[in-house]
Amino acid sequence: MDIYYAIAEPHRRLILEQLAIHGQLSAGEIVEKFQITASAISQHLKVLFEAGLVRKEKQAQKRVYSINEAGFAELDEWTQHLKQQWEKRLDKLGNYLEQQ
Amino acid sequence: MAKVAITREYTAAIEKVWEALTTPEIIMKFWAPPGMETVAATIDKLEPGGVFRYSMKSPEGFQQWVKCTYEEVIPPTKLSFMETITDEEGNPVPPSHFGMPGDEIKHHLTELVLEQDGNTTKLTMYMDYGDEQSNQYAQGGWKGMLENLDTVLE
Repeated sequence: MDIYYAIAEPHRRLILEQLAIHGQLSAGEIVEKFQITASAISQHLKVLFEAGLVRKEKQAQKRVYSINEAGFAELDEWTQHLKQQWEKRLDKLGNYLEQQ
Repeated sequence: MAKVAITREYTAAIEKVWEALTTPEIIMKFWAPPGMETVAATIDKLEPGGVFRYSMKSPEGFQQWVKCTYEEVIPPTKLSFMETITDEEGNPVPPSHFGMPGDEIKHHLTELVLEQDGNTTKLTMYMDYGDEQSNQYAQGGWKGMLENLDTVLE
């Protein structure tokens, strides 16, 4: 599941935000916070889980969701990789311009 | 992790910096990071929708292709493009295809903004990940939300 697809949908970002604020929430608690159906929430949670952005565990009769930091680390790792590449590129552009 | 910005100041006229960023022969000289070599750079049209492609090769012989589709071309002050890693034929591939982190196909928007101040030109590079759809959502403030997430996750 594409992580970028997963975070492109506004409800899914709001779900992540709620999980980040509250630490963990059951599917039922998430449904209560939104004006959309339980089945829509369930689909969104499925996408987030498959993208590796949330964890789920069974506690008694409930499924409890929380943020999976490792999923976000992948986004961050890629951004850092590109940032370093640009740092070096812009330094080399400076060298080139000095020689002109 | 939301939006990255890098700034440099060059002792050069803004037109020179613009020329360097938009001329394939000059791009070949500085685009690849040290240790890698830029082995190809082409621009079909320097206008929105135009495509800039480049290829870099590592000493181990890994060759990576990147396709950039221009979104804004405003000489000599602003250049932005959507960047995607591709194979040699131009088909999008995940970074892992070239031994880099990430198993998913990635698109990200890069913006280069130039400002002249006396004999110096300030260049700011902004980078934002996401695809066109998520960049549209960006107007709705999802960057702010991800920044909040950062704070919470730290």
